[in-house]
Amino acid sequence: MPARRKTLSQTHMQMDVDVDNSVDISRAKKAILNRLNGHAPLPALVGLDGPLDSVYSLLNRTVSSAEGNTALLIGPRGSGKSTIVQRSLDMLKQKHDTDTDIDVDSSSVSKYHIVRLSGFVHTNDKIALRDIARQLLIKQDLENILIGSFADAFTYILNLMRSSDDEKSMPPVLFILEEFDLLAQHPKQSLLYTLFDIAQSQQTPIAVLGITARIDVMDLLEKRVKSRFSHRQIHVSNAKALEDFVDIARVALSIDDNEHRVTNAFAESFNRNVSAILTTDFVASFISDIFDFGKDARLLLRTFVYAANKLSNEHPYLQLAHVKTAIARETASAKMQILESISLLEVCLIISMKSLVQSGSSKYNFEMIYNEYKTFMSRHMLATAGGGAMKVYKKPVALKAFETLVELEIVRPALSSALGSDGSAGTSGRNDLLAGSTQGSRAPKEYRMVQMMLEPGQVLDLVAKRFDIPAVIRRWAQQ
Amino acid sequence: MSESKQRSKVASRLEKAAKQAKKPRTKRKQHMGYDSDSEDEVEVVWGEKLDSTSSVSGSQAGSATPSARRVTRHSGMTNKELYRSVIVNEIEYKLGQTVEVKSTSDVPHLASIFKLWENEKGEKQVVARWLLRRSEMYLSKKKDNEVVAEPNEVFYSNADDLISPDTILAPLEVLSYSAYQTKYGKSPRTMSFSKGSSKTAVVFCRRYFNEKSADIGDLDWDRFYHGGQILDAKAETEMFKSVQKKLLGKEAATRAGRQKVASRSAKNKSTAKAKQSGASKRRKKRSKADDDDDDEDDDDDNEEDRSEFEAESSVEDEDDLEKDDEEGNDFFVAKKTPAKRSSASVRARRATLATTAIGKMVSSTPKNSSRRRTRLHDIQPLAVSAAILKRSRVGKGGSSNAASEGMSMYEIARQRLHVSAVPDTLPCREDEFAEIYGSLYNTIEERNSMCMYISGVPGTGKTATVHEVIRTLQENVEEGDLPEFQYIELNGMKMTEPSQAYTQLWQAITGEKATPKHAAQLLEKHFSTPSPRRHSYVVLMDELDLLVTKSQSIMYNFFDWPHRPHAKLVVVAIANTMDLPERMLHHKVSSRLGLTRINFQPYTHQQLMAIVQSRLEGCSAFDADAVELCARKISAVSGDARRALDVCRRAVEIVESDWLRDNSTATGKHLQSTKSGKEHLVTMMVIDRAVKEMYASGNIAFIQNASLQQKVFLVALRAAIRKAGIPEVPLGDVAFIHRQLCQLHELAVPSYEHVSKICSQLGATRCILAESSMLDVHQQVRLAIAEDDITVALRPDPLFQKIST
Repeated sequence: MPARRKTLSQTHMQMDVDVDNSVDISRAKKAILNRLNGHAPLPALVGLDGPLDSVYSLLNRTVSSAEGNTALLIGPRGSGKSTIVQRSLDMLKQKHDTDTDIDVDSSSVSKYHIVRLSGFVHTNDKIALRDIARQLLIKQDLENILIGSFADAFTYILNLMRSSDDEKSMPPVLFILEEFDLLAQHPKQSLLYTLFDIAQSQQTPIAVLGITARIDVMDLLEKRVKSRFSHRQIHVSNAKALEDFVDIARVALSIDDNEHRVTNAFAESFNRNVSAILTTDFVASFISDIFDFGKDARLLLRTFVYAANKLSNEHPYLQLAHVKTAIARETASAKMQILESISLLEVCLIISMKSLVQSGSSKYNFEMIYNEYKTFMSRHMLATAGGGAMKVYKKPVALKAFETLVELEIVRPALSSALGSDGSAGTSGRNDLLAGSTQGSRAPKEYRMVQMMLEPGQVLDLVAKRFDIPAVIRRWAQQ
Repeated sequence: MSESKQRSKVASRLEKAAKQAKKPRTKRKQHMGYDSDSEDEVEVVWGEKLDSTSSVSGSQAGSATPSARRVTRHSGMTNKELYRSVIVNEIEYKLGQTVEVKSTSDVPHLASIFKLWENEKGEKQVVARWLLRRSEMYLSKKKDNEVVAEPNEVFYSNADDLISPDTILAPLEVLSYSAYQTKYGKSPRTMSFSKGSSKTAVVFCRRYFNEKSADIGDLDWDRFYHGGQILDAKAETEMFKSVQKKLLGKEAATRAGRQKVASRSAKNKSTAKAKQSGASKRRKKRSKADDDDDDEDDDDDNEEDRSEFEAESSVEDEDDLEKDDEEGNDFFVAKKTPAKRSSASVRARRATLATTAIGKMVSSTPKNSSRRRTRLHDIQPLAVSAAILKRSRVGKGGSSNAASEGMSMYEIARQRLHVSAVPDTLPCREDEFAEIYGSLYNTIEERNSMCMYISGVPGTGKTATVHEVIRTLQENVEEGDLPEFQYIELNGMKMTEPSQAYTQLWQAITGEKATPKHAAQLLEKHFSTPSPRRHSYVVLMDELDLLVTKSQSIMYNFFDWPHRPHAKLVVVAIANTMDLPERMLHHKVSSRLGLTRINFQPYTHQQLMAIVQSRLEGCSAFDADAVELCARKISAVSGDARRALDVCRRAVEIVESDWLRDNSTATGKHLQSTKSGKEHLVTMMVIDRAVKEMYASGNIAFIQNASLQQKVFLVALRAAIRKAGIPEVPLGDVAFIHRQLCQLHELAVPSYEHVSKICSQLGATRCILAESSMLDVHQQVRLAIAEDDITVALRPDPLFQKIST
C-alpha cells in the first residue's frame, strides 16, 4: 500500500519537474505552517456554523443597535472557541468597514472597540483594569489614570465608558474574556459584576463574551453576578463525525491558488496529494485514533507540522514518510522508552512492587520490596532445585538498582497524605529520597516509604515488550 | 395595664434611654479615634436669669418652631431654666446676640442666640438661629443659579438648632446693606475669621431665607433688628410663615387627596385614641415612643404595646400642632394663617406615619403579614398612591412615542424587553414603593434621620424601586412639597475595599478627596456637630454585604450617624440576604440598623406576567399564553425579573431569525409570494425552547459529544468509584479498569499515557475533578457530574449499553 502512494507522489514530481516552483513551495509552506501553528485562522470552519452564527449576531447587535449583551461560549479545549470569536470579529470588521467606506478612516476607527482579557494574564482586577485602559484609551495619556489609586482609576474608566463627552457618540465596546473561569475566581468578582452591570443597564453598549472550557462555569458566579448575566450560553462541541474531523486536517493543509498567490497547477496537485495522504490507511487510522481519544484538533494539526516543515524543492509535496515519523513520535510513550532499557534486576524490583500493590499495600519501602524479591527467588530456587541460571542479587546491589529507579522517577517517595495534597507536595518531595533533606529524612533510605509510578497494566506491558526476561519472571509478573 | 405600673415602666425606660444616650458617645470617640485634645477648656457661666417664666411647660416648648420643638424632644426634658444671657470665656452673650459658632472647618458658622436654657441634667444649651452664608444654603438646581450673594452676605433664616454654649467663639457684628456699604465701600472684602481671635468680623444681611418653603426675600436689617432685639416681630412672622403660595392649581389635586386620606385614617385614629388611657401620661409616653429607636434592646415590651405608642405619638403630633395653632405666641402666629394647609399636611403625614408604624409593627411579627397587606392597603396614603398614579400616567405617555417607525416588530420588542430599558413604572412593587416612599417622605420632611434595610433575592427590583422613589421625591422637591435633599449612591461592588465608602461619601458631600481614614473622621464630625446645613442626605448603600468587614466599623458608623441629633441622614441599605443583620452583623450594628426592614419577595408568576406585558404594551409579537408560560417557568425557578425578560428577548430573537430565514428562502423561490411577509408570533413552543437553552445544563450534551475513549473513561471511573465505595479513586485504578473494558469490548486499548491525557482533558472541562498530574498514577480522581447524567447520556449508545451491563 505505501509503495503505491510513493509512486503517486513520484508521478507528481515528474509532472512538475520542468517548472521551477520554489516560490510556490515556500509560499505554501509558510501558509500551512502558519495555520498549523495557530498564527493564521483556518480558511473555513468545519461544523461550527451554529455557534458562529450566534456569536456573530450577538456581537453585531451590540455594534449596530447598541444593545448590551452578555454570553458565555463553552466548549472543551481545542474545539474552536477562540477561532469562532476571531472569525466573528473578522466578519464584523468586514461588515462595518464596508459600511463606513464613505467617511473613511476617522469614524471607522472608533466604530467599536475590542477589549481582550484573559484569565491567565489578568490575574487580578487591577491588572485587568490597566489593560482595559490601555486597550481603550490608547491615544490618551495613561499616566493620569495609572498614578491614582485603583478606585480612582476604576471610576475614571467607568465614567469614561459610561458617558463620553458628546452624549451618544460612545462607541460600543466588545469584551472578549478568555479563560473566563479564572476571571470568575477573582475576589468579589467585581470585574465581572461591573461589566455585566453595564451591559444590563443603559449606559454604554457593551458585549461581554466569556470563553471557557468548564461546563460548570455558571456555578462559579456569585448570585448577584449571575442575576446580571443574561444566561446565554453557547455550547461548542467537538467535531461530531469522523469525516468532519478529517475535513479539519484537509482544510488546514490545502492551499488556495488565489489566496496564496501560487500557480493553479501547483495548488491543484498539492491538494490532491494532501487528500491522498489523508486517505492512506496508516494516516486514516491515526486520525480515527485521535478522534476516538479526544477529538483534539490541535494534536491533529501538530502532527503535520513535521511534514510541512520538510517541504522543499526536493519534496514539493507532503511526504507520507514524514507524516509517519511524526505520528510515531506523537504516539511514543516516554515511560515505556525508559523502561525498555532498564536491567533485569530493576524489572524484578518493579514486579515485586507490583505484587506488593496487588497484595494491598499502597506504600512500601526498599526492605519490603527486597523481601518480596527474595521470597520469590527462594521459592523459585526450591521449585527448580539448583536454581538454573538465575542469580539472587545481594541487598547492596539491589539497593543500587532501587536508587536507579528513584532517579528515573519510576519510584517516588510516598506522600504523607494522598488526599488533599495537590501538585505542590508532589513537586517538593520529588527527590527527597536521595537528598534526604526534608521528608522522612530521619529514616535511612531503605526504610523510607515509596510508591511506584506505574500501574499494574503498565508492568505487564513492560514485561510483554522485553524479550530478554526469563519465562519464570514473566510468569511471576502475570500472577 | 394599671396606670402606676405603666408609669414605672416608662420611668425605667427613660432611664435606660438616658444611659444609652450617654454610653455610646464615649465609646464612639474611642472607636473613631479622633482627637479631642484640640478642644480647649471653655468656661461657661450663666448670666441673668429670664424671670418672666422660670420654667417652661411642655406646651410652650412645643410652641417653638418645629425644629426647635424637635430639639427639645431630643433632650427628652420638659423643665428648663431659661436665661437672658450667658458668659463664655468672660464675654457676655445676650439673647438675640449674633455670634460666631465653632464649625468643623476653619470658617465658623454664624448664628443669633435665640434661647438659652439649662435642662434638668444641668447641661447648658443654646438654641441658635442660623445666619446662613450662600454656600451653606442648599437650593434646587433652578434656584441655585438665580440666587447670587456677596461673600460677606448672610441670610437670616428660621433654621434653629440646639448647640452647646462652649461652641460660641466670638460676637459678630451684622450690618444692614446700606451701613455696610457706607462703612466699607463697594469693594468686596473677604471675610477674615480666625479661630478664637477677638477680632470681630463684619457681615451684612439684607435678605431672609425661609428654610421651610426655600423662599428668599428682602429684609431691612436696620428696621428689623437692633442690639440683640428683634424689632419687627410681625415682619418675621410674615417671612417665616410656611405657607406655599403656589398651593393652588396643580397641587390642589394632591392636597385634596391628602385630605381624603386623613378622613380615611380617622377610623384608625379613633381606635388608637380609644386605647389611650390618661392624658396626663401623654408627654412621657411620647418621649418614650420617640426614644423607641434607641432602646430596641427592651425585649420586655410586646409588640402591641409598641404599636400603641407609635399610634399615640402620631396622634400627639397632631394635637400638638393644633394647640400651636390656638395658643401660638407672638413669634409664631404664622401657623395660624395657613391652618388649613398645615393641618391637612399634618394629617397626611400622620396617615403615612401610621402606615409605617403598622409596617414596623407587623414586620417584626411576620405571622400576620397578610393582615398587614390589607391594612396597609386600607390606609395607604393617597399622596403616595397619587404619586404612583401620576407616574403610571406619565409612563404611558412616554412609552407610546418610544415606538419609532422604521423598526420591525421584533426590534421594538427586543428593545423593550432588554433589561436596561428603564421602565416608566415598576409594576407589582406598589406596596414596597409606598412603604419606602412614605418613610423617606416623612423623614425628609421632618428633617429627621433614619435607617432602612431592604432585602430580596437578585432581580426583584430592589434598586430599581429605590431609584423610582428617589425620582419621585426629587420631583416633589421641585414642586416645593419637600425640603431639599441630596441623594448619594454607594455600591459595595464598585468599591475596591469597604473603607472606600467613607471617601466616596465625603467626596459626594463636599467634593473633596480624602483618605478613607481621614474621611471617616471628617464625616464623624460633619454628622455630629450642629451646623446650619438644612438639607438631608439620602444615602443608598447597595450590595451592603460587601461592606462587612471584620470589625464592621463601616456599617457601624453608617448606621450610627443617623442616630446623631444633627445628622439629617437617611441611610437605605440594600442587600440580597434577608437575614444579613442576624447572620453576619454584630448586635451593636444590627441594633442601629433599626426595625425598618422591607423584604422584596421573589416575583410570582402573575407579577412576572404583568411585568413582561407592561413592557410589551402595543407590541403584538407575543402570544398571550407564551408570556404566561415564561412567567410560570421563571417563577418556579427564581422569580428573577431579569431572567424572565432575558427569556422573552431570546424567544424574540429565535422567532426573528426563523422568520428571516423563511423570508429569504421564500423570496428566493418565488418573489411574489405574499405570505412571506407575515410575521411569526412568539408561541409557547418558542418560549420553551428559549428556557431550555438557558437552563439546560450542558452536561448531557457534553458527554454525548465526548470522544469514544472519554466516554469509556467516564464509565471506568464510575465503575472504579463503585468498586472502591469512596468517591475518590486513584487514576491508576481507573486506567486499569479502562484498559480492561477496552480489551473486553474489542476497542483499541489505549496506553496509560493516553488514559492520563484523557483524564486531563476531562479535568479541564471540570467534568471530573483530578489532582495535579504530577502525581501520575496516584492522583485522585472524582466525578464532578452526577452518575445519572452519564447513564442518561450514554443510554442511546448500543455499545455503552453493553459496557454498562
